[in-house]
Amino acid sequence: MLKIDTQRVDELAPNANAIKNARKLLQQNKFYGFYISKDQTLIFGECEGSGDSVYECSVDFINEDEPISRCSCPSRQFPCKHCLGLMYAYANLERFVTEKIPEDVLRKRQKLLDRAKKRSENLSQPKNIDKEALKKKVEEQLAGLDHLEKLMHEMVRHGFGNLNFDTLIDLFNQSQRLKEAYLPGAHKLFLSCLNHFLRVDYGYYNRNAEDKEALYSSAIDHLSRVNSLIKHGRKYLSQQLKEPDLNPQRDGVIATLLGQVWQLRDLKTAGLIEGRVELAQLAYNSYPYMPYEETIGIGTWIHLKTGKLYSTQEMVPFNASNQMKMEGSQFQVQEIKELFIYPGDITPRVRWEESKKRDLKKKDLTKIRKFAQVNIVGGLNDIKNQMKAPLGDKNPVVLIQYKKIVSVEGKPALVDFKDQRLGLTDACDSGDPKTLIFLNYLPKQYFHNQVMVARLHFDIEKGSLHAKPLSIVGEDDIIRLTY
Amino acid sequence: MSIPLLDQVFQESRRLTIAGSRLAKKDTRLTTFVDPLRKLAKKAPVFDKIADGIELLNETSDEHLAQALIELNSLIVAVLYTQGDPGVSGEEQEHRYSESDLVYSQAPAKSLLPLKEVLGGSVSGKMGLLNDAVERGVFLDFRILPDVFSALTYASPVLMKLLVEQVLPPFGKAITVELEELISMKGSALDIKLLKLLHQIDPDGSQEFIEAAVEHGSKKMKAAALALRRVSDDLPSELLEQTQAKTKNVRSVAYEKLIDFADSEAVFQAFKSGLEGKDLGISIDKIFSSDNQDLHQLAVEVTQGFMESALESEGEKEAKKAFDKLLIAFSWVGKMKIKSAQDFALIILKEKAKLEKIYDKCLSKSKHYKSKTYIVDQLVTTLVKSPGKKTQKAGLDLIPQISKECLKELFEFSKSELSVKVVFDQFSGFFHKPAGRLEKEKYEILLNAFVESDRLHKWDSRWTELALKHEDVILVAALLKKGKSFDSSVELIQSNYKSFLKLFPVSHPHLLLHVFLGFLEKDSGESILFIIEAFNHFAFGKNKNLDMEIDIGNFCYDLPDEPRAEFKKQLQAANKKIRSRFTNYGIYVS
Repeated sequence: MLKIDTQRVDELAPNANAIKNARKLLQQNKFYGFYISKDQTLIFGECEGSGDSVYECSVDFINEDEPISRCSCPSRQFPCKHCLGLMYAYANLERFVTEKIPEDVLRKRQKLLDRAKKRSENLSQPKNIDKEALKKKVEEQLAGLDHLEKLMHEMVRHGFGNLNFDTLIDLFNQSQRLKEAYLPGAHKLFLSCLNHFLRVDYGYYNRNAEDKEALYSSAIDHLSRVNSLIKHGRKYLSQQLKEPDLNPQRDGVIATLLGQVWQLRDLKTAGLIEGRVELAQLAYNSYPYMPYEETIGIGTWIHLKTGKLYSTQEMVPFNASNQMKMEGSQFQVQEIKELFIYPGDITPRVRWEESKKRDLKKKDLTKIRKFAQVNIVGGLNDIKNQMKAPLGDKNPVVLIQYKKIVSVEGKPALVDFKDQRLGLTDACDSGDPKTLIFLNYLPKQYFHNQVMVARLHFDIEKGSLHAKPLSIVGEDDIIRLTY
Repeated sequence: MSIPLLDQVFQESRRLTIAGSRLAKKDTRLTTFVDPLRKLAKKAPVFDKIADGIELLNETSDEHLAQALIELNSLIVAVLYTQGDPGVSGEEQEHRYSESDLVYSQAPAKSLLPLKEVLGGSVSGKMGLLNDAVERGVFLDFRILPDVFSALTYASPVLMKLLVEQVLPPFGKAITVELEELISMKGSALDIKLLKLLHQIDPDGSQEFIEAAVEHGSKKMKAAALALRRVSDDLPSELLEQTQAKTKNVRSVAYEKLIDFADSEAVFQAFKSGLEGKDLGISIDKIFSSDNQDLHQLAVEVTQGFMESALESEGEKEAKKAFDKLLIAFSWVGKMKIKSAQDFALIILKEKAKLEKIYDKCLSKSKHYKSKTYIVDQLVTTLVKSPGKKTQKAGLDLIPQISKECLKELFEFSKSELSVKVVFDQFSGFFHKPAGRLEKEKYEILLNAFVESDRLHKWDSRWTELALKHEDVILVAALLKKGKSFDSSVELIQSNYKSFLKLFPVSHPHLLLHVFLGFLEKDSGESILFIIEAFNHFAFGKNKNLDMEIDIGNFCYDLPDEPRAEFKKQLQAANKKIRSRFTNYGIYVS
């Protein structure tokens, strides 16, 4: 018996419309028949299409955790509504007749195996470096950094208070050159600084005086990061120019911030890989990133053995949102064969190719809760030291155990078991939405002796460290405050 | 480490960054910090670096000023990061929490994001997606609440209804604070809906807010709040005062609430003066919906008084007032169950002719004059709906006298409330060949009401007989359109199908297919035979009609699975000529 329930099918769906349409197909009895292979690895069927056409759809569970959907319809969504409908039918216990696996599915399975084999061979082969091309690329990157420095100087020469809309748009347009100079990371960092003044959604020009002051301080912080990246980036690239065989892992963080595209082979070669890992997602948030016209999805995960926190990143361009599927929130534990870890410090980015899923159990939650920091002030000192590094993670995610959540002069705060407090905030640079409001909707038990997944935020203007709640890890469940 | 000094230095370097680096050189305010920084550097060498940074800013060329200022900022920011204070000072209070133990389901981002998008703007297919989400329980997630609340402010009536009636109620008391913040005392449609919701989810807790709405709300808000306000068991003297309020809505709500205290003499008197005064319309309906016999009797007596005034009225003004009051009061009293009310209904019927005469005499030249049948229309409308059989019969007997405007309402009422036999007996007269213009109009009104009727409505079988007799093709089609209660009618048509089929090619060929659908629902075996006969009739009969043949041929091609099997079976038994003609429509049988 395949493990398919409606929640799982919802998770596999590319979007809510697909779910709605798939369910409609079933309600309208559009399927001509439901079939299942003898070994129960494939479900397939025929569905009425538009006009006279009949679509042949199938969902292949040869790897049960990563089903492959195939359909003869012209949709570019995967799975399409026909395959989703097939899965809903199975989940709803429709009668599936045992049938032979169709020939073309067998052929496609074989192709898939061949491709996986080839990819695995590629992963273990050392990468051939075209030294000439690399040299050219590095030279362009260095020129890009010079350009970035010019832009940064222009901003400071003008003065933040004198940046009018035209100047900002001009800086924005000029910064596009950084993308062409293989510096997407540096470009994003500069935009995040420029965005303090540009972002229309925050209504900079309509803000009150106090908010504007906070914005200036935050922009100074971001510009310091840009400055640091230029300095360290130049050093790293000059070194690479001298030694084309240089392992990017040596200065992995710099390379990543500049915009190095890490292939799994690179990470494997650099030894940034861990076998047999179990990760549980603690929080997920997606938000639109306007300058790049893409939706960014950030997942926060915990290593169930070590308690180390990791993050995943998905980026889907707006115009591909119908075709590209975002993994989104994951409620099950991922049993990962090989975890690829990107260079980073507090919550490094990770990726994986193959995984199996299992339900999150109470003992997992107990384990996660044990990894939390008990002492707020003492526990955060190490993290603060990492935050002070100009290129360090300025908004790291932490796991904090609290005695209670209270309200101090109308503002929420965590109190630890030594009665030390940590203020909670909605402010954050990472694109997370406001979450404090959701505390009001939680039952009383979540206000005592629980564990909070929070993103730290340092307010330079006030010189204070606050935490933004992302989730609460209870004894029986994880209450997510973002999505 | 001296934080105040560091803060001051940061404030100054920040000021220069905002003003522009061109002004940073030899800035006196920043330069004054060099010496204090040097002194502090003995304890913490990092201050030396900051002092160096300031001096570099003073000495460097204009070209490098921007970089020097950035370097100084970077250094200060790095030091500030190590100083972050997580403490929050002040008195602790309990944080707001939900009184329910229920944690609402945590839907995946994939389900919530489209909802957020739909609620935040104009996305096509909006309602479909939202209804589907309600059905799947996706809305049972508190993370979508901020979007729901902000969507409410611009929502269309349909969206507002969905959000207020289906999405918000499950959250119960957890959202009372937000609801109170959202409700404005101006009393828009949304405010009133939300006030009702607030009362629904927290009847006790919302009373304070409701009191405030009564005090400070607009007229509409006040009326809505009064209806929701809890009244104490003591005689509500405030309510009695409100029966004298200027706003009609407020008085109306006050009467509604006072019904529960009708045993009190003061309340009885308030209703008496309301009925006799300006509040007849808003007090008599409350009396009707209550079970209080004394108040019902009061209403009958007051109405009797109105009738007497009407009968005695002479002038236009006097007559208008008396007739208005009489007809409003009678529309309620005539439907009351107490014996005196039913007796009064028969009395007023006896006075019908006199009343009509006075009405015509006093008002026929006035702008307030409605029509010649106005009195009979009003009386019959009430009598037909009266609970007494005698009075109802008297009303039904007067139907031929009523106006065409009144006819449709009574037909609809009779259709849903009276037996199929009574409906046929009372209304079939209108379906005889209409002679005059008025009769024709009345016939068309009823025919439309027939056509628009619910397909599952049950009719007396004599209707079909009547329709066939008069060759009324629209009536036949309306009666048989997918209907299921025409066993005898269907048999009747099947036995006379040739004369029946003759009706259709005249002007309404498409109606025949509707009739076929009606047949198929009843009994596919018999009906299929009939459809094949009809095909034969139009393909080869005397009244050949190609359009009709094509319509039936295509209809047969599109038959659903079950009747299709039956159809093929019966077609096999048909003659070769018919079988071969059906091949033109893609239907083959061996």
